[in-house]
Amino acid sequence: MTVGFKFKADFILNFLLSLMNGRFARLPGKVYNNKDETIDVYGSDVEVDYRGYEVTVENFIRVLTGRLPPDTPRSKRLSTDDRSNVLVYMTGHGGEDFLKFQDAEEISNVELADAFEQMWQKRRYHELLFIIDTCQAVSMYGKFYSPNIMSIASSQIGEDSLSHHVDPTIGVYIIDRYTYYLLEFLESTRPGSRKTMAQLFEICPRHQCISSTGVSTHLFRRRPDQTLVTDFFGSVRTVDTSDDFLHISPKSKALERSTDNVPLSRGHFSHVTQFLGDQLDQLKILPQPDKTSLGSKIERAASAAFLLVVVMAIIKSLIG
Amino acid sequence: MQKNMLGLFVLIYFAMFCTCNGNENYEESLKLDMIDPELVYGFFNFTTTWNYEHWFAPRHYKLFPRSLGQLIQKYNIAELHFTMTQGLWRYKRWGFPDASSPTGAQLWVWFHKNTEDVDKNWVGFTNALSGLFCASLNFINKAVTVTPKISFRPVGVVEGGETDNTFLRYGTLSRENLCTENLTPWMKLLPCGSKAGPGALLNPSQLHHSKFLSIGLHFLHDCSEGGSCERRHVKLEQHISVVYDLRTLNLMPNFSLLSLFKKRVKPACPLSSRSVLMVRVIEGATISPALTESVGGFSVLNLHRLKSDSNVQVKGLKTPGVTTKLNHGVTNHCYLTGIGLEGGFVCSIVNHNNREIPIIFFQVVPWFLHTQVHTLKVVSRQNDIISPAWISYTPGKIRESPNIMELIVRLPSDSITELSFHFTKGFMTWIEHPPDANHGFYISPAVITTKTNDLNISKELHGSVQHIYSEAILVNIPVPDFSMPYNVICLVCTVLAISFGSFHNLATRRFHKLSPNEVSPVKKKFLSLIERFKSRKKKNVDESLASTAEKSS
Repeated sequence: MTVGFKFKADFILNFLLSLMNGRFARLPGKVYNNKDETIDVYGSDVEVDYRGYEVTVENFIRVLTGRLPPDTPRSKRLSTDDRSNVLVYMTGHGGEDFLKFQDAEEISNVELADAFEQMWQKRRYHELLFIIDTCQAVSMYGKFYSPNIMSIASSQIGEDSLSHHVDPTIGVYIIDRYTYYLLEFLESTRPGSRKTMAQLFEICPRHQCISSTGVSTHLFRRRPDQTLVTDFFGSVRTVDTSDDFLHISPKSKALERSTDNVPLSRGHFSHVTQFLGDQLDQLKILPQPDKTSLGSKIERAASAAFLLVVVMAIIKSLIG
Repeated sequence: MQKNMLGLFVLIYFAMFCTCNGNENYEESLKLDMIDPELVYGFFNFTTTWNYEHWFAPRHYKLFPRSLGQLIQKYNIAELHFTMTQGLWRYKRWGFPDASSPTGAQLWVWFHKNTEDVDKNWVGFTNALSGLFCASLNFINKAVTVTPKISFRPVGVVEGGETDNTFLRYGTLSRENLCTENLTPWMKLLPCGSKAGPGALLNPSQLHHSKFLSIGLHFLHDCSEGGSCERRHVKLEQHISVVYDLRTLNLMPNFSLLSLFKKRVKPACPLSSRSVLMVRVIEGATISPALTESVGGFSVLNLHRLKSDSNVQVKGLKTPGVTTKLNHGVTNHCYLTGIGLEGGFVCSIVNHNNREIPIIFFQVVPWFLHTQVHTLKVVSRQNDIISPAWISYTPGKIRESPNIMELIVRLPSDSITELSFHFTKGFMTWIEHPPDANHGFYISPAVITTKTNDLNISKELHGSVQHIYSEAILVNIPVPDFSMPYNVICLVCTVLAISFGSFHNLATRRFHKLSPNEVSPVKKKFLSLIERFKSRKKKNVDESLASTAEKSS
C-alpha cells in the first residue's frame, strides 16, 4: 500500500509491502505503472516509512489515531492537526466489508470508520479524502459517519476490481485499473492546477474499469466541483508572514540543560586491544565454575545422604 | 578574462571553506578494483572528522549531519557501527573487503560510561535509526539484542583505556532488505549528497544491478596523533561497497563509469579536502583517459582538478581462463544438518596459513532453537579434537534473549576445522509467526574475528581486526495450520447448532399422553373413507348375491 504520488506533501506515510528487490526481481529497485516502463512509480529518491512485517492493521490504526509508542520517530508518525487535509489511499486484495493486510489479517469497514471518528474527535484532520481500489470497494466506506470525509471506491458491491494488464516478462499483473487511470489523471495535474474533485470522479468509466466506481460525498461539506484536486494531492504550502518580531534569547533553556549535562572528561583516552583471542590472561571474564549449579547441588545432597547412611550404620552397630 | 575570474572565484570559495572548517575535514574517494576479469569491486568512502575539546556536544553543525549528531548526543553514544547489505561477500573468491558486513542489517553501539539506562537508550536509538534510514531496525528487540564479550571491541579511543561490556549492544536482522528507500536517507547525510564528486555516481537503481551491495555508517572517537591523545576528534565514515558482474551486465571487453553507474563522475565536492577516484585494473587492460598519478598500484584521478563531468573507461579485458583468486587467510562456511525437530549447526572453518591462528568464533542462536551445549564439538579434519582456549556460553530465555556462544579456538596450520552443535526446534504460538511463516527464520551469521596480521592483509580502516561473516542460515520451524482455528470454529458452531436445536426442542416441548380412544381427525377421515369403501364393496357383493339368487330361484 503506497500513499502519495509525485507531488510533495507535508506528511507522506508509506505503508509498502513488496519484495521488489528480491533475488528474482528482473529490474531491482523499480516499480513501473506500465509494461513499457515509462513511469517509475518507485522513484530514485523514495522513502518508505513502514515496510515488510511492520505493515499491520494495528500499526495502520495506530498511525491514524496517533496512539504510538513514545520511541516512535517523527517520520513514522502522522503529525496532523485540524488544519490538515489527509489522503488515505488503499489498494490490495479485499472483499465485502474488508481489506486484506499481508495475506494474514484484514481491516474491516467498521474498524476503519471508528478510526476516522477517533481522528476527527482528536482533531487530526480538517478534510479527509479516502480512495480505495479493491474488490467490492464501496462496502469499505459504507460505515463512515465522521464529518468532512469524501470517499471514492473503484467498484460496487458484487463487483470485482480488475487489474489493468500483465507484464509477460515477469508473468504478473502489474497494476489495478482504477490506480492506472488515476495515475494517468494525476500525471497531467500540476501543483497549480484548477482541476476539481468532480473531474476526478469522472475517471475510469465502466468501459475502462470494467467495474463501476462509487463516490460518497454526503459527509463532505464542500461541493466536489468546487474542491480542488490539489487540496489533497500535492499540498501547495501557504506561508503566513508576520510583522511582529520574535525575540529569541541567546541561551534557551534547552541549551542550558545540554551544557549542564556535559561531564568533564577524566583521565586519558587511548585505544584498546582489538583482538583478545591470544591474550587469555587479559580476559577478565573467564568462565567461573558455578557453585549453585544443579550438578553441585546433587553432589552435595548425595554426599549428605551418604554421610547419614554411614552414621546410621555406626549407631545401629553400636546398639546391636 | 572570464576564466581568470572563475579561477579567482573558485579560489575565494575554497579559501572561505578552508577558513570556516578549521575544525572539520571532509574527504571522499572511490576505489575501483578488479577482483577478477569479470568482477569489479567499487568502494566509496566518505569521511568527516571534527575536532572537539573535552566532550563532543555540538550545537551548530556544518559538515557533520545534524540528524545523526543529535541522535548521538541524545542517546549518549560513544561508538556506532551500522551496515545494511544485500548479497553475500564471497571471502574465498573475492578476498577481504575494506569494510566487512553480514547479509541484512547489523548494528552495534558502544554507549558512554555515564549512561544511566543502556537498554532504554538502545531501544530509543534503534527506533530513531529506523526512522532515519527507513528500515525496520525497531525489530531489534530484547530477543535479538546481545552483548558480545570479546568479538566487538571499540575501534576508536576509549576513556581511561578500559572497556566495560555492559555498555555494548549488538543486534542483527538478516531478513532486512537493502533497497532504494535506505539509500536515499543515507545519501542525504553526505555534505554534497549525490551532487558532486564520487557521490554523483551513486545511482540507486543502477547500484541494485550488482552481485553485492552494502551501505555502512561508522561513528567513533579518535586521536589526532598517537601518545597522549590530547587532541581528539569524532570521525564519521560512510561506505558503500558494490560488486558488479561484468558478464551479466554485458560489459565484458570494455566498461566505463557510465556503463556501470549510468552516470558520469563530477568534479569534487567543494567542501572536501581530498576527493579522488582510484582505479586498478588487471594486467592487459588499459585505462582511458590515461591517469598519470599512481598510488599503491592504483591510478589516481584528483577530482579537484576535474573541470567538467567525465567518464573513465577500462578497455581490453580478456575473458578469463581459471583465474579465481584464492584467499590465503581464513574462510568460514556454515550449514544446517538434522531432520525434523532435531537440528545441527556446523561451521567449517578453513585456515589456509601454514601456522596456527587464534580466532574468536561468535554465534547468536534465536531463542526458539534450544541449543545443547554439551554437543559442542570442535574437530579438525584429521579428527583431532581441539579444545577451545576459552568458552563463553549464555543460554537463551524463551521470548527473552537468544543463546550466545563465544569461543576462542586455535586453528591448526593448513587445516579444516569443524565446529558443530545440536539444537532442538521449539514451538512458537501461532500468533508469533510472521505472515510468511513458511519462509522460515534466519539464524544470524556466525562471526569470526581474526587479526589482520594473521591474514596477511593490511587494512586502512577499523584497526587491526577482521570480521569474517558466514551465511545467514534459514531454518524451518514447525508451522501450524493457520486455517485450523477458523475450521475449528466452523465445525464447533455447526455441531453446537445441531445439538443445541434438538436439545432445545427436547427440553422445551411439552409431552402429554394421548388417550387410546381419541383418534385424530385425519385418522378419523381416513378410517371413514376405508369404512365407506368397505361398505360399498359389501353392498356390491350383496347385490350380486341377490341377483344370482334370483337367477337360481
